[in-house]
Amino acid sequence: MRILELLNDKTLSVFSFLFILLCCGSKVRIFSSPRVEGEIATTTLLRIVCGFILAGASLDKLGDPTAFSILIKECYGIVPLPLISSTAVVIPWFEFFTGLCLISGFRWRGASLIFCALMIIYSFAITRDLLKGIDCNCGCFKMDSEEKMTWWSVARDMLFFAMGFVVLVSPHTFFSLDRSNNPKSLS
Amino acid sequence: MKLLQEGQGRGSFSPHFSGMKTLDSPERTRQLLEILHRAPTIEILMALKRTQNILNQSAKLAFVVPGKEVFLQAWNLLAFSFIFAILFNSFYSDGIELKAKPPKSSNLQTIIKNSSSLAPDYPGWKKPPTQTPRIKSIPTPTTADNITRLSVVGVKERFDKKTCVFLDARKPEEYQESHIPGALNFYGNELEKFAPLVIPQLMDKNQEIITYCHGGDCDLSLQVAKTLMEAGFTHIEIFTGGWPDWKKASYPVSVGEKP
Repeated sequence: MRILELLNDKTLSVFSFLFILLCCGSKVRIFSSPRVEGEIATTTLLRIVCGFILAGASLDKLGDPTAFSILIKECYGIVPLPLISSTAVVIPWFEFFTGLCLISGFRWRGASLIFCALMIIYSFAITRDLLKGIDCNCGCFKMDSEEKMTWWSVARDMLFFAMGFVVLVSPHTFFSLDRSNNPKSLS
Repeated sequence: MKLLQEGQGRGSFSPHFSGMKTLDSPERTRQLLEILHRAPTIEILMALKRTQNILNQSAKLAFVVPGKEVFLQAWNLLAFSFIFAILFNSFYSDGIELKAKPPKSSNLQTIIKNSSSLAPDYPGWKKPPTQTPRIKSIPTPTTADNITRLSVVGVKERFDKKTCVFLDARKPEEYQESHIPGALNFYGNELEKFAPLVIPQLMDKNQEIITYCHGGDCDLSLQVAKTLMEAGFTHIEIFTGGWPDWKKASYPVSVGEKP
């Protein structure tokens, strides 16, 4: 539990930055040799980490759409009022299934596209609130968390986006349920 | 290689590998190479080499541009999640009503809509949010000046219902530091300066208005209330506890110049 308490916006930002460095390192043969195996291994690691991040973020919201809808209403003005209820119901399941696909490698490329899109939307929403001076908790991983949203939250989401993007454009992956490792099979 | 280097130009051939130094016929050379080729270590090395070549060829494609199929995958995933979520919500005991719309906000309420709480009577909730007041409710007395005094609980109720406008009578610096979400700054010591800025934002003379300042002995909110009464506003109340009580109750706050 103490480890989980350490996972705040700053530490998550640093971790994701290190992951991206690791991935870039594998591309320039710093950390791995031969090149290709290391590169695939790191992008696979990124894919699984992204999956756990998204699935983990959804768990607290899945069972309590009421609380999540209040959070959206109070803190995120980008959602139009008539759509708040539907958003509160649908978004956690988007996150959960996308996370599951990223972890298992089933339709992982499409899932990483959704992951990137979600991170952009979240970054935009948090930035908007910060610029408006709305003092709310992010509710990203835990809705009753006391940690307020800061610019670190935006940095964290942007780095998550970068991780998702690396997965999205990588031609190969290990441990995938999809037999789409051949780059010719996609795009 | 050693074999070929040592055997070049020699005319003799030994049938034994240990003494093999020369090569005397092209056929024998081929046989020898076949034998060498079949040696397990060589085969493994060559297989590794072949694998590496294949991987290196594919590595030339350092990234893949997401194509139509990727978007199709994403779309399918979204559609599946959407249908699953709707079905799950309809069978889930704590699910919420999707079709219900929140009450329409007036022009004035749009000022505070982004930072105020949801109305508890919002029909969309099967289970309306319950918030336990952290400070005991106190009666709301009306004084000789006909201005109602409100406790923090009464103020929070009105805040939740979004039916009133808050006027912060403290200094602009204090207002910027933090204030009730949606509140407008109307500094009680500079009424002439703030009145033209604030009054046009109020919807009509019957608008419910709550003023507050530092609580206790602070009379800035009273000055603002009196000014507004003189201007013809009829529904004015004062939050006696003011900002300290609001902050103590840990209710939502906003920071900055904007409401």
